[in-house]
Order: sequence, then C-alpha cells, then structure tokens
Amino acid sequence: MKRGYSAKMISYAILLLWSAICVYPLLWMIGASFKEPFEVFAGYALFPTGAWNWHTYVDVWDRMHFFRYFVNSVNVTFWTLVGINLFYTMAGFAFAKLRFPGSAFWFYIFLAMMFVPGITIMIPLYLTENELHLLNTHLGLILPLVNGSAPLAVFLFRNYFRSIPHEIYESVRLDGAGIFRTLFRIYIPLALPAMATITITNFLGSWNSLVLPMVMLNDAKLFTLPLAVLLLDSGVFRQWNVLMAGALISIVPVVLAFLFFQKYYIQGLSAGAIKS
Amino acid sequence: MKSGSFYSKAARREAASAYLLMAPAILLFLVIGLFTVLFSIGLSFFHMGHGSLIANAKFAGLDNFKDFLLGDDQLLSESFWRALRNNLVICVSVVALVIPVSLLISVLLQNIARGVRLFRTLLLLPMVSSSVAIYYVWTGIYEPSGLLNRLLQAIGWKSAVAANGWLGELHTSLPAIIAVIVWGMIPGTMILYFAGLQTIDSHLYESADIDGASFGQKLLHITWPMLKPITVIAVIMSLNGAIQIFDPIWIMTKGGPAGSTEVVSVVIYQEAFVNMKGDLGRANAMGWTMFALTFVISLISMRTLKEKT
Repeated sequence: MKRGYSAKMISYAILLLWSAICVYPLLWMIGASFKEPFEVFAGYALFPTGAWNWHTYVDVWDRMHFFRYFVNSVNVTFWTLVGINLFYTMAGFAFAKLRFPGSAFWFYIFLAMMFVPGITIMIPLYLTENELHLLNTHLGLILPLVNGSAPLAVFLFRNYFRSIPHEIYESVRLDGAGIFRTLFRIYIPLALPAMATITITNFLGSWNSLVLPMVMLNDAKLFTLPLAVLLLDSGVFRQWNVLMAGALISIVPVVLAFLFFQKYYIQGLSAGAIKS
Repeated sequence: MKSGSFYSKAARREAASAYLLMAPAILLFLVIGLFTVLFSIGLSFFHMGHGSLIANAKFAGLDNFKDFLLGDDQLLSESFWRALRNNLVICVSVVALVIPVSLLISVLLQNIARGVRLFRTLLLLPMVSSSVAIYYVWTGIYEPSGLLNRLLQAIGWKSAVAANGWLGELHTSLPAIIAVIVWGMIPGTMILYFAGLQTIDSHLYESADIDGASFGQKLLHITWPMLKPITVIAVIMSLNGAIQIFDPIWIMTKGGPAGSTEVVSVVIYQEAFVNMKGDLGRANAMGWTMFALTFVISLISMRTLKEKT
C-alpha cells in the first residue's frame, strides 16, 4: 500500500515537471509580449513586474497590419477546410459505397501520395503555379493544402462510411433517393464526427504551414500569419516584445481550437498512425 | 434477358456517379499531385536557372546527382554531405529520445488516478504550438542572456554557459535544435502509446503482481512487447519527420553557424529559392535523393523492428 502511494507521488512529480517544460514556452511568449523591450531578458520574472504594456498589441494589430494577416490566414484555412471536407467526403463515399472499375487503383493512388516529400515538390509546384497564374494568390495555397490532406481524409472518410450499416444505404436507395441525395442528406450528417476530426487536424496543419506560403507569396498584402511573424523579425535587431505579440496572435486560434476539440484531434492522430 | 441489360445500365450509372463524386479529388490530384511529381523527377535530370523558362532547361543526364553526391561541385557537395550527416544525427537522437520518454510519460499518465485529462492537455501543447511562433520562443530561451544560460549560472555550472548563446556556438547549436524537435515530437508518440496502453489486458499485470514482478520487469516483459506495433509506427513517423525537418531550423539558425545545423531541406531550399545562381534541377535531384533515403531507412527500420520480437 505504502509503495503504491510513493510510486504515485513520483509519477505526479515527473508529470508536473514535464508539463512545466511543455507549457513554459507559451507562458514566456505571453509574458514577453506584455513587457517593455528592455525588460524581456532582464530578470527571472515570467510576467512584467511593472505595468502590463498593452500598447504593443495595438501596434502589431493595427500599424503592422496583423489584422489583415489574420484575415488572410482565416481565408486560406477556411477554404482549405471547406475543400477538404467537400471533396473527400464525396470521394470517400464513392470508395465506401459504390462499385466501379478502378476503385482499388485510385484508392491506393490517394494513399501513396503520403510518401511524396514536402520540400521537393515545392519547386515544380512553384513552376506549375507560375504557368497557371496561381502565384501570389490564396488559391495557390489552398489547392496544394487540400490535395496534401487527401491521403488521411480519403482513408478516414471511406472507413467511416463503411462502418455505417449497409442496410441504411439500401433502404434509402430503395425509397428512390439518388446517390447524391443519399450522400448529402443521409451520409454527410452522419459523418460529422469524422469531419470534425479531419477539420481540426488540417486546421492546425494549414494554419501553421510555413514553406508553402514562403515559396508562393511575395506580395506582403497576401501574407498569412507565420510569414507575418517572420516579417516582424526582418529588422536589424529583434524587438522581442513586438515579435512575441505577433507570435501570440498567430498561435491563439490553434491553441483554442485544440482546447475545444481535443477529442477529435486525438482521434485524428490515431487514425494517421493506423494508416501508416 | 432484359434484366441483364438493366443491371449493366445500373452498374454503368453507378460507375459514372462514382467518378463524378471523385472528379474534384482526381482533378486536383492530377494537376497538383501527379503532374508535379513527374515534373519534379524529370527536372532533376535538367539544368534550369532561376527565372529562366522551362523551355530553356538543358538536359543534364546524371550531372546534377554527380554535383552533390560525388563532389563535381565541391561547395555544394560539402554542404550536402554535412547536411546529410546532421540529418542522420537528428534521426538517431530523435528516435533515441522520443521513444523512451514518450513511453515513460504515457505509463506514468496511466498510473495516476486523478488529473489525467488535465495532464494530457498540457502535455499535448508542444505539438499544437510547434510553429514559427514557438521556435522564436526557443530562440529567446537560447539567447546569451536567455533562460538556459541563466539557469546554468544560478546552479553554479558556469562552464556549461554558452557565451554566444546556444544557437551561436558550433558545438551547442545542433543539440539545442534537436531538443526543440524532440520537445515537439514527444506528444504525438506519447498519445499513441497512451491509447495503446488502454488496450493491454489488465490481467497480465495482475498475474505479474502475484509473481512479485517489479515496475521495471512489468515494463520490460509486458508493456514493451505489447506496444511493439505502436513503436514501429512511432519510429517510422519520427524518422520521417526528422529527415524532412525544415521549419525549426529555418527560424532558429537558417543552418548556421558555419553550417553546423544545416539539413538537406535547408540546402534544397537555399539552392532553389534563395541562392540566385542556384539550379532548380539540382535542387530537385537532392530532393529525390532524400526521398529515396527516407524510403530505405523506413523499410530497414520496419524490417529490423519486426524481426526483433
């Protein structure tokens, strides 16, 4: 009994220590963004010892156009998620419920895309987008982001639709509903949990994506938040309070989304692992 | 007779509907996926400068590969091999650190009765926040007057203090980067292990308890073998991530100082998008070499891990 008790205490101690290491960088970011510039590296205090300086945020949001970058990120991420959910529920439904020639072939093609190396593909993608006049557009980010999510999304939606009893499909079809009506009226409402998983997983990926916008955008008006944070760092020396304010703005939506939809996020992780 | 043709007509309609449903996905795949992959493979056998037209690309045979693999271009070859070595160091360290720490933490998490959900949320935060924003925070922690140096000074370990900052010195920069990568990768593996632990039959532990097995023995003889499939997946995912790593290095050091944190992705990015005299063909050739390497390493690790049961 005693041994079990002390083992529990040690477990708690290690978990607390490790949690602190996990959370500390976020706290430092918050603290530094409210400090005066000279204060950032001045002492041990995580948060400002004097007054909290809110003015940095006003500056970053307004004068440094973070409002615009925020809207850009929302725009890219929103349409990416719409595209993913629409295209791959449709494809997943076809793979799960319809019989057609080439079904297995296409399914494995979609899965195989997972192995395509990210950075290598940037160069031809850049050249392709140049030809299609997609450089310096948000669509030029959305399309590759949607396509990049295909392996996981197709796999997950197909499996989800398969897990729904086939009797439902048969009875709906016998009632005279067409395939599209069956999908949009019956199956998509049933697939909301799977869509939540796909949405939260890809929300994080697309919001944080760095290389793709770095390569495809050079008009600062179109920049997404990660690029905007880089922009704050382009001066001669770093203004840490400003940089951290921008960083915090860029990260708040993903952290909040994670906190609210954690369950679905964890399901997405496990699904990704099972697939590989 | 009629029913046969009716069936085939229905089947044809079903196939048509299926392709209609898949049309957006397939179209996107053909343009963004397949075309760029083939284009990229092809381009690795051509010379192509910045801002020049595709039509002006010159056939290069295997020259691009020789440039960086065999040292035909000495400068590029040196940085490619140095970068590859760094990639391998990152791979080995990531696997050696991520697997045991994740396993330990997930076992501890399962052993506690209260607060599992709260801890799980906190422990997953690095994975969620791994982005430009958090890499700048780590840059701050590694500054000459940043937290790490301060802590070392406070505990009196003055010889370990990095005077130019942890990212500014040749022998500390790569370990400092690896720490950040490991920090970001542990949560994903941890949550897989944690899910795996729930599936292990508790009777196994109970009968081990009756036999008087210690915590370590149970871990070694029950938990570890039962979680083997998850370990295989976690190792492959970590290796993949470690070979393709780009974001943290680009934000924190851009490969410096003196190439000490350069990795293949950074060399490719520099060659393709930064260095004005770079050759896009060569950058592609390096990319596919890296891809082949990832594939081989994944295969080998999958085989060895599966055999060792």
